[in-house]
Amino acid sequence: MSDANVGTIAHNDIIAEEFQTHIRNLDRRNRMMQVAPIIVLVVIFIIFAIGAPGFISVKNFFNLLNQMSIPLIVATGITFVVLIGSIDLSVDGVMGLSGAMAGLLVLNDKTPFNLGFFGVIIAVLIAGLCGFVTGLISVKGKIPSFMVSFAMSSITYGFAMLSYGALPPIINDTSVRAIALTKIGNLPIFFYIAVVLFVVALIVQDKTATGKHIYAIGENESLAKISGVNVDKVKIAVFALAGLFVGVGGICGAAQLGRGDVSVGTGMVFPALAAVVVGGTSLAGGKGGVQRTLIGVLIITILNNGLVLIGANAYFKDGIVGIILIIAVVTTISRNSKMVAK
Amino acid sequence: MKKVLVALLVLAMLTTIALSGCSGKADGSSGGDDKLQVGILIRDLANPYYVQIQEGAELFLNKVVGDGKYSLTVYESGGSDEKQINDAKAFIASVKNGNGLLYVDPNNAPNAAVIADLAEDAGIYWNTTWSYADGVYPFDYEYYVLHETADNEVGAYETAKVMFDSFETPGKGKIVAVQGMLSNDASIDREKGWRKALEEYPDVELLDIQPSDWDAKEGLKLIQTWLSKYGEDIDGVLVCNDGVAVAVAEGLRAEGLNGKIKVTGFDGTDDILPLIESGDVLATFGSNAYIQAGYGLAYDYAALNGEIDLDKMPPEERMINTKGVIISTDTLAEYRKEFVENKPDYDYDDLEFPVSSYIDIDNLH
Repeated sequence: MSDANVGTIAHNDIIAEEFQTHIRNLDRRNRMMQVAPIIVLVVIFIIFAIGAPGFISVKNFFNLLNQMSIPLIVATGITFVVLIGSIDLSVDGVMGLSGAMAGLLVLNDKTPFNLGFFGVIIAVLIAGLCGFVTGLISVKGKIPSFMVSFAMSSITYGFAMLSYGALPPIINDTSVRAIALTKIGNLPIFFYIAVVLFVVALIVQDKTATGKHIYAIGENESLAKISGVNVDKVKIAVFALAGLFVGVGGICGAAQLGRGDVSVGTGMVFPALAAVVVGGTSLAGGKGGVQRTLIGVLIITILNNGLVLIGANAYFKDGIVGIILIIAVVTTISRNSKMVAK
Repeated sequence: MKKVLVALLVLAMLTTIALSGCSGKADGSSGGDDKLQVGILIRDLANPYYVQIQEGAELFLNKVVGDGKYSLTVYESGGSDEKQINDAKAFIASVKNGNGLLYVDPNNAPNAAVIADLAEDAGIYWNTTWSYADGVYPFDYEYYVLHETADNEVGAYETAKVMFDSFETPGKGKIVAVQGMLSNDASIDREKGWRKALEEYPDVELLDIQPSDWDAKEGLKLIQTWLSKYGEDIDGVLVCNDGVAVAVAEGLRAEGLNGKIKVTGFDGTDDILPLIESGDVLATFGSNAYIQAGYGLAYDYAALNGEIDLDKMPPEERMINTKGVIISTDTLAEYRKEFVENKPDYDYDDLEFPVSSYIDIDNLH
């Protein structure tokens, strides 16, 4: 065998070894993305179980399920947007608009409408329409989704405020209030709504062609397009779906406060996105899923609950959530891929 | 065709942002040079208290300045210090020849220091409500006319006493308290009032106290978590403002504890009144936003017109506590008659009228 042939074989071996190492690193990263959130969840659970008086109690168990319900609905919808590699910052405004619309369309103290459950459906559809428009402008106009959705948040917030003329309507419709006030097995109806929507999202994600297309788009949009996926259609549908979920979250929030108040959405975007990312769904898209978002929502809810129980400063709580978020992002993004939200 | 559609949608979006986004002109005027420019810097109009602030400003402006002779712009910071500073700059840039008044509810106290310098440089008369910055007082400035605040400490003290006296065994019980923001003067002073009352009622135990950032949802989460920790051991919840108190009352209603666990608020906004009537909320302190906004601007306007000489005004008269009233089932009807069914008609020439007491300027922070 000539020296040249020996050199070529050795070079090929090195390339093969580097490739295997790269694959192993990717596998390790993927395993870490799956396991790390569960470890975090278990660790904080143990810490609070030991250190937070009242954390381990039947009452607090139900309280945790209650408190995680609305964030779960919102974060589940947003998960699909993150899975396609985009981002939705319209949560605050769209959720507020949905709550305000519901407040104005059902029996209330400001308008003569009394559309009952039909009013609730209209409010959710309005939120879905907002998501659809965000997706349409972002996809067809090739404008980054963070920019369009941020603008949508501002628009919907403004509309919500204008819709009720600053003083929010008080909801007098008992069937709408029942969403928060009627309890089955110690839990409000909106908890069961959250469970149903989560299961629906899980089915869409794992059992439908759309679910597979969502992952394909997040992983590699160009490849998905070449494979025949109608990328634009799927992306717009994902934004519309997220809008519907956020809309339901707004209805539940309004039912809880008894008011069609735009503030039901204020400040919701950060915990919702934090739950998605902390759960292990990659901001680059293509990896993760709603089951991981459930873990993320549990982490954020338990942190909030446990820190109140131990009497920690509220700003300490925000700081901890922020630190966990940064760690989650650092450990889950692939620094080789494009990170600009599509 | 698709590109045209997208372009139209983007255009519609941007137009709507401009129309509905961050600030709003109240009189629909174009803001000509001869009109008095009036700026109000607040947190957000989602809070009914701030709606009353806007109404209070309009009552004064329509009565004293005259309809159509002013241009009122309300700026919402949404809780962002940076945005409030930028709003102040935007307003100041819109004022020609010093013909403007600025009413500021600082998002956080240090914002007042930045705005003091901006207003001083531009020569615009202005005032603060609720919070003032450390070492930055009206009497040290030429254009910083007044600092006014409803007497947070007295109001919180009085509402706490109403609550403690209402317990099954008067003066004996366990309570939790929901603060506003830790660095906000109003929140700090309200807590002082609660603690003063607690000192006088040694058999009332404070189980826990946490901030809500003035956010109703945070208040709701706090009461839910406290209920899981303390259960029905809680006899009362002292709450920093009415918006959060409403959420706390709804949280208690979800557990069937409304009316059983006493709740007090602060501000006297319209949406808490039905809850006082139903017994879900025990009492609140009407801080009277109409007085705050109307007279805050009345002082600024008097300085602008030379009706008051700030150099000759005693320093203590430029830092005032404004009048308020306890609203409970006993006083609800009277309050509704004066402030809900009718809007108050004040004599804005009588600058002494809003003064409940003067702030002790020898013990400022």
